[in-house]
Amino acid sequence: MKKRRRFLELAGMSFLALVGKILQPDPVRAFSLSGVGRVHARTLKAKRWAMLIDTLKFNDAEKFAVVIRACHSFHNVPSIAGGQEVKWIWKDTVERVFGEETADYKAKGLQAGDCLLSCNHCDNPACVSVCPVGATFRRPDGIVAMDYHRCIGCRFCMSACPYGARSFNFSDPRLHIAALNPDYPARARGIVEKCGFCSELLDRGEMPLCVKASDGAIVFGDLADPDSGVSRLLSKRTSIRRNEKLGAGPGLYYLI
Amino acid sequence: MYNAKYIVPGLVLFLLVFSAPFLLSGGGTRIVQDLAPPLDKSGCVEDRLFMASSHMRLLSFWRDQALREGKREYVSGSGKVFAISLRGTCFSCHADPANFCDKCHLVNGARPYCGDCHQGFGEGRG
Repeated sequence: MKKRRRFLELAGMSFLALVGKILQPDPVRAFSLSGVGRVHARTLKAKRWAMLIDTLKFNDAEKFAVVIRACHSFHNVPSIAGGQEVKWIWKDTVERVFGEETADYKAKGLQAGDCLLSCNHCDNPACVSVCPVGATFRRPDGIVAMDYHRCIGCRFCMSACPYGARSFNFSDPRLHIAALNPDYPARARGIVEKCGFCSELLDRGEMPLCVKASDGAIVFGDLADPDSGVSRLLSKRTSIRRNEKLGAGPGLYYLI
Repeated sequence: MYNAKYIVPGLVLFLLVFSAPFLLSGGGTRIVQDLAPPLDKSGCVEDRLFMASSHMRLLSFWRDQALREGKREYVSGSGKVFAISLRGTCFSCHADPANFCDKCHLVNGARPYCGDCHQGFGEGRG
């Protein structure tokens, strides 16, 4: 009997000692950060960023090339031909872009030819809903952004996106970048990537690169502000969006 | 116990071989002393000891602030303002990551992969 009592006492004390050891504050981890994050004074703010693409001003191949190059060269987007292509902003024919709605839109004034495409930064982004790790999220200003650190490369977002705005890195993208821009990170193999509306530039008070390179053919602004350039243009001109019936609420408008 | 004269020395030998890496290394974290000194000696973003042990906590906080909150600046406890930027802030002072990050990481067997995407790191990739 005594032996059993002694055993239980010892076992109990060992257990307590173990718990104490686990709960003991780690002198290093007990430190905490002293500071806080702060919004840059020049940050451009909006309730809902949106982009207007003037299809009438995108009338020759060079115009598209300039805008695409401005984005891809800065953001270290690899150039890969074929099915493993990576793209943030690209072009395609209006028939392929607007599908069965093309005829209706042509009746409204849509011209035949090519059309500029990118991530639509939707109001209800399917990619955000399906991301299992929270790597894709919607900022309060409407930008659908990615935290590449978190992406596990499951490609659910690519299946979910109705606009094909996402690309997967099947190989090390650095092997396909002619000149790395040191001011922006590259991505790694196994990571999905897409346009982020240049949130890193907006946060420092600059307009997105495609807007700057477009010579007025792309207008960017706050859709929630009735006095903004985009709101005024939308009330004046006829505009269309891709596949509106899906209800994703795309933030890219095409002026026709 | 049967065959104790074989089993006991065998066990002792096994334990010695098994624990040799721990015994020989002396255990614990190795502190590397001859790191490349920072260009600006007036002090890092946080306390030196904190940076040595927990710089990843700062970097992780910075990442979430910048990407998710749109806060691209960090105001430290002492009131100094830093741009949240690896290249613009960290590397402007620690200009030789191969002799700074890598040195500690290699000795301690840490293999971060920051350098897979972020540029400017040494061969240790982080």
